[in-house]
Amino acid sequence: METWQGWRFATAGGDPVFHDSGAACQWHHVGTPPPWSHSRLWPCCPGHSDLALLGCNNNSDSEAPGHSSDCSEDPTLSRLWNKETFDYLLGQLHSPAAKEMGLFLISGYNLFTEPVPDPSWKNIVLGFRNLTPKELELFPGYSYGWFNTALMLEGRSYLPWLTNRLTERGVKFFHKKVESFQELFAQGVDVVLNCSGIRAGHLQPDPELQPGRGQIIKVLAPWVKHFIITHNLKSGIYNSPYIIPGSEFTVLGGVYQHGNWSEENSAKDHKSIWDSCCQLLPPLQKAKIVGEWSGLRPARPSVRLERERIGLGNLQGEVIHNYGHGGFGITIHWGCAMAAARLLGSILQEKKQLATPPGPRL
Amino acid sequence: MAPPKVAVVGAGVIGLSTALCITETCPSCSVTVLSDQFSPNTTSDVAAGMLIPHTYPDTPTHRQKQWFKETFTYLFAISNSAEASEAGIHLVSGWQVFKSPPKEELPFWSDIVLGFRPMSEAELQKFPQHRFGQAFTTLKCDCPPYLLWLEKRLEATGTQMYTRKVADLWELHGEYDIVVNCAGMGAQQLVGDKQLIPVRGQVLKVHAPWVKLFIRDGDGLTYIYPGVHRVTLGGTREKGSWSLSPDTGTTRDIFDRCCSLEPSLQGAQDIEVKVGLRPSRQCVRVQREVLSQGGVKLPVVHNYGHGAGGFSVHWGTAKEAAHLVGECISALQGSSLRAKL
Repeated sequence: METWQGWRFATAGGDPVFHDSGAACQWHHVGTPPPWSHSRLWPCCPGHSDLALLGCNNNSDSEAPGHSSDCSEDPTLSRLWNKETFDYLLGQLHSPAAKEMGLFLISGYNLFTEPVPDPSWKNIVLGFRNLTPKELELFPGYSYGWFNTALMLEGRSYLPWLTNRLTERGVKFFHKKVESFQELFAQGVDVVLNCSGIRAGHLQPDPELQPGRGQIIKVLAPWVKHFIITHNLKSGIYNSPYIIPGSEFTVLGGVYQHGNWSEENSAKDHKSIWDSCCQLLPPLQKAKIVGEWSGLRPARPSVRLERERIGLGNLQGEVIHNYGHGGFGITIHWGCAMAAARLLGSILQEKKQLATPPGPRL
Repeated sequence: MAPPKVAVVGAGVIGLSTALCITETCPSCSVTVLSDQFSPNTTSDVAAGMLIPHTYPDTPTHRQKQWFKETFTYLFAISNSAEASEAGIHLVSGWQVFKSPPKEELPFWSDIVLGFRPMSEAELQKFPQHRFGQAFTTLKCDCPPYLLWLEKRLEATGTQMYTRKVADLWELHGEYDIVVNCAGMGAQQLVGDKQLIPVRGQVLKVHAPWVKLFIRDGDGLTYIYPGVHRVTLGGTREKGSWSLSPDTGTTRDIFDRCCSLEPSLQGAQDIEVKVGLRPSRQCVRVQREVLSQGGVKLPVVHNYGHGAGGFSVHWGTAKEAAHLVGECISALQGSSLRAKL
């Protein structure tokens, strides 16, 4: 726990840094928006904690099945966080740190079976345009699509890089399971940043937080230089294939199972992903499979980013929640982090004001 | 007349693709490839294999466009098939950037590549020294894979391939009925073509797998072309230089120029330096000729002088050369009939 002016902060959650398989498969659920809200259709931007494709947004107001369509978060917040994250990383692209961060530019395709309105993020990414008829010939079964250049941020490089930056600043890391906020308050922690992702329910029950189970196949296909993301608007759930090339491996995916807590690989899902991706990109038939992985996206109708005062008497403190990013965590992470930091700033400001000695009595 | 025996001299991209086209247009022909070098030691192996045409001053534009279109169409189909990885053919997107306004706003090939459009302001911000740019998606043929794949397809047709230095086309008379000259730079000596000059190119092939987009300076001198396993960094255009030895100063210069376009290349590993001599000519020579010596005739089809644009037009010129071989065969059959009368 870092100390700052006598204050102790703890961040609960955040995957153990050298966790090989990374966090839950990240992408987000488009859902089937009711017709009146089709303007809020945000294309899914699948990724995996190993690699996450930035720029194309997230569905902050996802209408996941079983949930009300009541959006508890202003979609403009998500858009803002997306833009802040993309712009920040774009600024890092030419820095010497870029390679170590796992950051690079990549172009690719978003495919649809029918025309759709342009996404709100079209001006956040680079070079956004519609696909030409000749390009669509590459993708039989898809009649409409977008091309753009986005950013890739590979988790397996980014997390160690972040860890190094934090370590340089004196932040300490403890690999242990936190059972409650009170446990931390009892140790003298004043503020907890709750970034516990899919396990946030252990610290405080949250029925809105549900797993969005994903499965991916990792292959060697170094000739693939573009991401290809398909969208299936009709099915309502985007079990729709995607192909995302990283710096070493290419990730094949396209599974979203709401409410499924299983982290075991499913043979049925494997077949579905493999068959659909090979159909999408026939050269993949010759790709070598080097891994398979399942994860739980921490899905929520909206990201929980807010303060909360928890506990009583000696065992109380401030908690800043920052979880529920579904399949688009990396896409908006920096914007969220800054928002959380601002909340921390307000807490400190309030405490400072309270601690200021009263003026002289006249 | 017995099945015509065709000798193709040269086993670079031009020789192999021409041989393959001949087996397709003339299945009854017996085709043999003769070359002093095969992959990975041909000029083609040094090239990045990007499909971005070079403009030949003396070849009519419509002809260059036709060759490029045929090549692009042919490779496009392979790139989206199960053979793509073996053939080393893949799509790649990127940018061509200019410091001063390009001569042509719309090059003749802009409607053949995919998604050609001017770069946006936001994209240009990545290149502070450049003020204009074009974005598009094109194809890349990685060598050696592409040449090895062509060789494999040739073998499947029964084509024989031999390492042999041909010093004079007449050596082949008697053994072969028709000779196809795809000797590239070798044609200078082989047929005494003084219009053919080497344009030396030095490149670096590096390991930088995070580079997914190509970047090319419109001056043609600096380029970054990501291939299947390696990224080709270039380059130079040294007219009249025959030197095949890498130059260390040039290596440093190429690396610096490429890093200024793409700073992350500072982290590139495993730098290999290669040199190739582009067989350059004002126009590509795709032409029939009948050599004559002491009353004896030798039909020859030339297909050389592709300079910096070999990959971009190879299939188109191969088809044209194969067609000319067909004409040679008809002529031979005609004269053989006449001889019987």
